[in-house]
Amino acid sequence: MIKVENVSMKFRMTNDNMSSLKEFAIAALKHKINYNDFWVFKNINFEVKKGEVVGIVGRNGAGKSTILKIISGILTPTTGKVTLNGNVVPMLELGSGFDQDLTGRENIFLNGSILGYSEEFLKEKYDEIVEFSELGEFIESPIRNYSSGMMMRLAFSIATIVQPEILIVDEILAVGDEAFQKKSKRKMLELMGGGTTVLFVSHSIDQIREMCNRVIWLEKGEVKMEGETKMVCDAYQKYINPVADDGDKKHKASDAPKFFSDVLFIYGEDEEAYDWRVTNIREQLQTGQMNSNEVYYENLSQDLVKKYRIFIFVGCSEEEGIIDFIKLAKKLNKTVIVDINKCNSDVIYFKHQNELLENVREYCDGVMVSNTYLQETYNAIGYTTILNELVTSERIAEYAAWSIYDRDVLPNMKTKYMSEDELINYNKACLVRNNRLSDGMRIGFFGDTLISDRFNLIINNVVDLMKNNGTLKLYAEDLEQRLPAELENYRSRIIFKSLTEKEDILRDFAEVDIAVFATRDAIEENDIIIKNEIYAGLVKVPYLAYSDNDSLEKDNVFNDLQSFESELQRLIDNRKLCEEIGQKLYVTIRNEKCAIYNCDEIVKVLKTLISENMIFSVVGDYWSPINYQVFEKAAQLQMSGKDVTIVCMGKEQKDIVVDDVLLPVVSRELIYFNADVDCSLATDCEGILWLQDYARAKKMYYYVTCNELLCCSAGDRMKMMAQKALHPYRNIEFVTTSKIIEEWLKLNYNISAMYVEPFIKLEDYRKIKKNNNSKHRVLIVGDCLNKNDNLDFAFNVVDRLDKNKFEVIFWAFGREPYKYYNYDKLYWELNKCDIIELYNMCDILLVTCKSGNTYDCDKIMDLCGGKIVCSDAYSSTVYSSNYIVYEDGNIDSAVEAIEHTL
Amino acid sequence: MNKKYLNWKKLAQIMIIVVVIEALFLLGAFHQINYKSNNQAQSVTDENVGEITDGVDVVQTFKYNGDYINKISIKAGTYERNNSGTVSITLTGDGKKIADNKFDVSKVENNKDIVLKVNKRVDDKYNRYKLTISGSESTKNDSITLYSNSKGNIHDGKLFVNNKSIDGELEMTVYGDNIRYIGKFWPIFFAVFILIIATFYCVQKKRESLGKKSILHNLFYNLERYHFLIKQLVSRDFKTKYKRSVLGFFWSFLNPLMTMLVQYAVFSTIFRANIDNYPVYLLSATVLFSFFTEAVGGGLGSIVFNAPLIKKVYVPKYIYPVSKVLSTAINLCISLVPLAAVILITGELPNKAYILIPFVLVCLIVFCIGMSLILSSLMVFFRDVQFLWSIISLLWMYATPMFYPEDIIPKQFHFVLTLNPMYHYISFFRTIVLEGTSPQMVEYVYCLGFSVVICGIGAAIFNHTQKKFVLYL
Repeated sequence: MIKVENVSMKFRMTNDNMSSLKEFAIAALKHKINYNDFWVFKNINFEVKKGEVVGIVGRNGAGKSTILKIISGILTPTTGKVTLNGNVVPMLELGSGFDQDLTGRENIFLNGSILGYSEEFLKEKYDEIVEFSELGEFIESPIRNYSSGMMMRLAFSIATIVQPEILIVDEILAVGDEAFQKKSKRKMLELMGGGTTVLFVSHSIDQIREMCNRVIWLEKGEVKMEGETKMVCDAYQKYINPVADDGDKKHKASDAPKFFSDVLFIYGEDEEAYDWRVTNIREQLQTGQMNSNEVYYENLSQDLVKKYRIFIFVGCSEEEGIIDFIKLAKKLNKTVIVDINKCNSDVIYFKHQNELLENVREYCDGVMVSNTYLQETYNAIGYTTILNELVTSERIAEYAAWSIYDRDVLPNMKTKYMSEDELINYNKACLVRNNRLSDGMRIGFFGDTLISDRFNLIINNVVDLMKNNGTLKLYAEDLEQRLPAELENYRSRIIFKSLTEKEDILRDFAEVDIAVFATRDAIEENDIIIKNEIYAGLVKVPYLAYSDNDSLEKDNVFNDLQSFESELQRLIDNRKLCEEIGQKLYVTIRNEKCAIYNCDEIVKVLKTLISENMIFSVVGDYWSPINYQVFEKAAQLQMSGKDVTIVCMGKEQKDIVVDDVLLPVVSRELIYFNADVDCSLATDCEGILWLQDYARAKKMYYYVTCNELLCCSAGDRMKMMAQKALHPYRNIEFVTTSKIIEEWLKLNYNISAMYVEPFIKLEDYRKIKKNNNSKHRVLIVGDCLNKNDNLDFAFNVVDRLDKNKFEVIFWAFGREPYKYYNYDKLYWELNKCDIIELYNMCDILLVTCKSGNTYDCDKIMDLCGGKIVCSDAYSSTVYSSNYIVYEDGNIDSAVEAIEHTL
Repeated sequence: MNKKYLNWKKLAQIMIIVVVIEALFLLGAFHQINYKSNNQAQSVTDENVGEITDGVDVVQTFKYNGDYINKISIKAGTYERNNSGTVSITLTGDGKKIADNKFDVSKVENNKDIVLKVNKRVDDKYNRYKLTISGSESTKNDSITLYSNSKGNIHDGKLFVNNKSIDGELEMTVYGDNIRYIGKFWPIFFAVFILIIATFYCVQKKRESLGKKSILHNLFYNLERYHFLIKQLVSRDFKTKYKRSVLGFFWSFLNPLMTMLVQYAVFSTIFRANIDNYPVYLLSATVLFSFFTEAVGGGLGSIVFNAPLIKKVYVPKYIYPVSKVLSTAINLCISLVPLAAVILITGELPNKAYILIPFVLVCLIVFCIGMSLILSSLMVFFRDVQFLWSIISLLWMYATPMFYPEDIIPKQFHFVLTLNPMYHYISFFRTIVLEGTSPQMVEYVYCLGFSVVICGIGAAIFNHTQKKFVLYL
């Protein structure tokens, strides 16, 4: 997609910036023009493949922006070539070419044309741009009258309207007020996530971590490092801030509960497990198109349960929090898996895993095991097992490449593009390496110290070898440099390595020519051998292992000490053979043990375990009758074993209980969706758009309903709503509560909609008034989710009423009503019967809004024979004699109208 | 042969356009294709022949080697009084009468020409022509006189007053044409032109189908790709130019008109005598020249002033100067409206030569683009260019006969005019508007040549330097 080959960029800087002819002439005559050639970078090479999101990090002046400018064609490189495949949208600055005197509309076209959009495209997307920018009618006024926020909003909306093949981003552009920042960030994420190839420069390393597959680190005009995100970012952060606390960061970075995703990993204290299992399985899932996240077990909150479909516990112990969490997850029909592995030599962690498994036996959908032995064991006890053998991740493989850099590749490195200094350093390095080679072979013992029981198994053989080979060196890991007595004579030939940070493990392996392990119980230590085999293989070092049990069938694992020693001697004598075996091992590991090669299977297995999930996208007012009908169905589905989630607008995420079933609620404003959805249903048109664009829903239903009542008044509003959702490319199925709509869809669009019985049928309302009270009851219906002027007005009106004659009843949605609303009775979260009851017991309905609202309470009230007091600005389709109109905005008039009903 | 790469429809379109252009050219300049003007003029006065009263005969013999005589004009003086009677003028060639006419003396204006229309082919080439002017019905102090030059010998003839030979010759001009023999072959030239265009198109398409890209292809490709951008930039320039002014784009009318009025008030008394329809003479030059200064002045800053854009977005850089010139060209078109009004008011009538106006305008626009390309790229490296340009454009204006007649420039300095492209564009335009005929063929060559050469140089300089722009902005 993007290929940068040998690109160099030279800036020629005159000593003083001559921009006048006189200065130039004088200087030229005096032969005094001094140019300073400044190379921003030399021979940069990299490639970005289709669909990759590649980040570029580096300090100021490292040439990040320059390389973006070169790729987007603004600068021409001094030498070298950039090949691009696809249309590029460089987002280096917003609002390029805005003209202050033109209107917003004219600027859309001007700026759009500068960005290279075609006229037809802009005309088609014009409405979308205006809508996204939230400018409304300001679009027709000159932008010199705009606030800077409005301007940026407009610029952002224009810039992000395309779906380019290649996107070049210099810093994520979050602009405008807080709400718009959120919206714009989401839009950026969406742009970057949609299969687009992205080249992304940011100073925020967290953003890079969050979004990139791969990172390139530029330093002083060179590619200092290139590879997997975490590795490069860690290295970079260490470089710019060497004293940063590593341990703390790990837990912080993984704590990202803002996503609705497929899989969540919960890892415990066991660091190895975290490092090997979690990272590797996540990589496998990612390659298999499953999104995942991870969280440290202490940070696991109950709230996370509704944001994922599968939970995998790795190296966790039986904590109360975890067990409760698992119980809750099962209640919501999520999938729970416990991972059992033994890649850490610490037996304690294995025990923890086992105990957790036993505790949650009845809730657990499967056990993920790391070898066939464990599989057999757990199968026998009756668990469903998923075999996912120890593998390495691409990230570790990249680390390996860096270790090799020091050891093997050095003599073969390309010398073509080196500068003089580099060449000198390189030659020095080669010299050191050659000296070391002539120095003799090194064998390394890995997995324990030299005074351990494990080493004791082979100590005699090692002593023999040390005796027979005068130049042989032994490499071992021990902070205190302890030695068994037998080896004391050879102390000078023993190299101790104390530090084994994760990044350095591979380097340690790379330091030796042959790696040696020993295990006492092959079955128990199975995973350890495989793990070390992977380490050794990645740095092309042959390994030999001794095991006192014969169950491990591998070429390099011996259970006979004699043949173990002779094989070791054979390798010591033949350096070439070592290299050959190492190379062979490397190829095997890369081909068979890298995460990518195993991903298909594990993803397939997980998909069979996962329960079907459904998303119900509802409008904000939870307890309006439309939603109630949806909730009822959702609860039934939840009961029948489906993984149901309610998605709402607004910023509340309170879960709902319907018929004793807990329905998890998440807000689409607060959470980015990044998971597969098997089935979805929306009750509003925006919801359909959202489901399609964000939630990757496979099957979509649209529930065409405004109100159960409107089916009698021809249902124009419903038709409009249905029409909005119709789109030839959207594969939506319609559900409706109205026979009229069903027929209309069939007739006009040849769509067979599914008919369901309305929540409350019209007949239900036709009942007699049941007001036994002497006071007249005034009903106010309203949504308290946001500040509502209409409601304020209504309460101003009822405050003026005679308290002896009238009683105020408030039916509230959304949130608890404000304290300054005075009412006699509050109704809240009503169910079907209560609603009917409510209408029947009230005499007067006060409507203060100006347009026909979604609930159509006035029509129901009309049906029930009550009076409706409404503003003269209120537009309703049907007026009957029950309507009493007051002057809009006039409290006195409204009070008078209510009193008139008496 | 596989001709799939050819788009016949497009080819046909191009052919039709070419043919239409040729037809229009033919319509406007048919005469100039076939004839080359051959004027013989004595324009210096130092003497007169005395009053031409009743019975006085003035005879001027002369030689003329053209094929056609269109008209003969003789300069007359009235002694700044009202005279009466008539003058009859007769032209004979080797004794044969060619043309004659009578003129009412009272209508003759002081220092103006009396024009004898001839419009005859004289291809048998008379050796000697004789022009006889005889007065009648006018008495002394009531008659006109004719000017003469006592030393002149341009017409190679003799002057007699009442059969008495006088030194020198009348101040008169013989307007005529020579037949351009090559002009007969115009259908062949036109056909060859069509063929060349068609072949060129086919070759271009063939190369394209083979994947070769030429500069010309790139140019057209870019034009197609960026035409929307150019359109937007042009409309931006145009819209913002008079934004927030009360009269808005009426200034495009008012501006040239006001300039013309001021200049007219100042210069009319000085130059009026020698120039026909001075307002049109003045305004046509003002409109064209102010377009030139405005377009180039805008174009030269276009790169530097668009620096923020150039640094952030990739767009072919030549688009900035080009769009600037084009937006000024819209202004030019608007300011042609007041010019047309003035033309109509002063009594000139539109004629068929007007169809040639687009030619000169296009040449001028291309020339301005060339200049803008040169200057805008220089401007990036030396900001002095903008100040230098304001001086040069002023100098240029004075070197161009805008408000003074071109014949006040001494002969030895005529090369200044020949080398001045603006002079050619303006005089081309004036010939069409004031004389109602197409200019001479050589003027076409000048106009086209200057635009192509300057635009070529501009493109070369711009192309060579544009890579470095970003570094200097």
